[in-house]
Amino acid sequence: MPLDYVSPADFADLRQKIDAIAFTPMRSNQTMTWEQSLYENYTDGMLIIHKNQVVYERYFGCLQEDGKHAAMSMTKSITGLLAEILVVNNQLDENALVKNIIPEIRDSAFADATVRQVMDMTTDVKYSENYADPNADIWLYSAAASPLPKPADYVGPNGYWEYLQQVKRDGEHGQEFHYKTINSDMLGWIVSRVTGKSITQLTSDVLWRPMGAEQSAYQTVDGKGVPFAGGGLTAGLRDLGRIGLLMLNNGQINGKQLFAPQVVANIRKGGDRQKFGDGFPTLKGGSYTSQWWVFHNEHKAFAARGVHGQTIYVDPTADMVLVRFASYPKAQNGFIDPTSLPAYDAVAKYLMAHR
Amino acid sequence: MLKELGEHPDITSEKNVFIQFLSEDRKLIGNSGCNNFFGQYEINNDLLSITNLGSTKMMCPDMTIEDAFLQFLPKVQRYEVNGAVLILYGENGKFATFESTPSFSTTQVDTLTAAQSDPKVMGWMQGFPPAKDKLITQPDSNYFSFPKLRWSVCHLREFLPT
Repeated sequence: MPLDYVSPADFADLRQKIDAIAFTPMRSNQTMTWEQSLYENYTDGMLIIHKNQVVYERYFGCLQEDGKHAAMSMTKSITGLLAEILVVNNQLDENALVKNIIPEIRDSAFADATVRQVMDMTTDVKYSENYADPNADIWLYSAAASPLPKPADYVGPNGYWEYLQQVKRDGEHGQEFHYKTINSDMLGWIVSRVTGKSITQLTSDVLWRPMGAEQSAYQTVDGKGVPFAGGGLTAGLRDLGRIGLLMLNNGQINGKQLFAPQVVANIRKGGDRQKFGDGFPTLKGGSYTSQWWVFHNEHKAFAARGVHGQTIYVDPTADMVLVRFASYPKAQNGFIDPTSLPAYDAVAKYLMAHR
Repeated sequence: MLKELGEHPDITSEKNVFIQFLSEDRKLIGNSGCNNFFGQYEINNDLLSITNLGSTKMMCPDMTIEDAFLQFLPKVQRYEVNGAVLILYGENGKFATFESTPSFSTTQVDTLTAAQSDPKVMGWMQGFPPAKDKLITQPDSNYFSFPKLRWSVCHLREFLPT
């Protein structure tokens, strides 16, 4: 199903007007225009849907309208959405312990975590991403995850799931939000166990085909063919726009209800803000639940986010979905948010006032 | 060349403490008075962060400046360039002042802009076969580091099975 577009004349007009919108970036006293922010953020694709019609769409760098781009950690939000759908359908008990669903997890730190703690990343597992430390967990994880042949003398875990089996505990589960990718891998395994399908098959069955995607998506896999649930997805810009529409319209697209409205309600409500901490200064007062970021701002916006500037930004108050692909030189979104989040807010307010 | 460091004003240039920001792969190199060091840097407007710092491990008679300097570098938060002067700020404000010398481009902190780093402009993987210096491969190349990153984000399937 093609997305609905405003008329070509309105599209051209809106392009000019949106490009000229001025806003003030965080920690700055100089205004910037919307169009300047696209270059400032190394944007590869930008799609804005307002009142279910595409009002703005531009491509840069390596991307074109029929191309695909790495979604990075927005993949987590797809995995989380699948899990939330299963919870609402009573196919997955969010209070169950991981070991009761996946006995092979053995004495891993995940064994005694609840499904909900994994979904909201409030588990406390040892996993450091200090790239300067040769003994950091990220290296063993990378070695396990690599689909390339292992060196002859390699004795570590092979694949995401074997890696999860040997994760150690760092503290008590359920106390604080700790943003760690291995929770998404754990959740991917749980979702696959409950449904008997790989997350790629399930995404295809539950989301991609019924939503009328215009392109196939693909997901990277480990040496055993397990898809990377925490960051492996590559997809087209408009198809992520369709995911955004599903979230905006409580599970509905093209007049079809793909999942219960309660799924979106649960995500929009957000996670425990007390546990969010101050590790993400640009998202102060926010929360993370079912692998989605919830801003708890005036517009009740929530988002899927990935390193180097990827986002599906859903603003229910403005009836707007915005999708950005980018290749910002630095990974952390904390560097990109100051010229992005105020820009999204400005464009939302412009559309609310003028359309 | 380092001129001032925290509580040590007017450091003599015989100490030869310098830092050089290389545009390629956001690497930095320098000498902290006794040892050579190297690392990586990231900038965004006036924000600067220095990571993955490593150094040679020689012992020298007086390592006061060196220790203070190397401990400070990972804590750098922002920078300022005034003509030939580069000032690095930490959480307690101004910490190190450098002056560029003709032989070292010490104040060159540059990251390619979005337009300059456009994969088409860079010419990555163009032509068949692409020229050797335009190839992005795995695992022998840093395919997910800027600016190669800007091409790779649309071509993951060509690096990893899916």
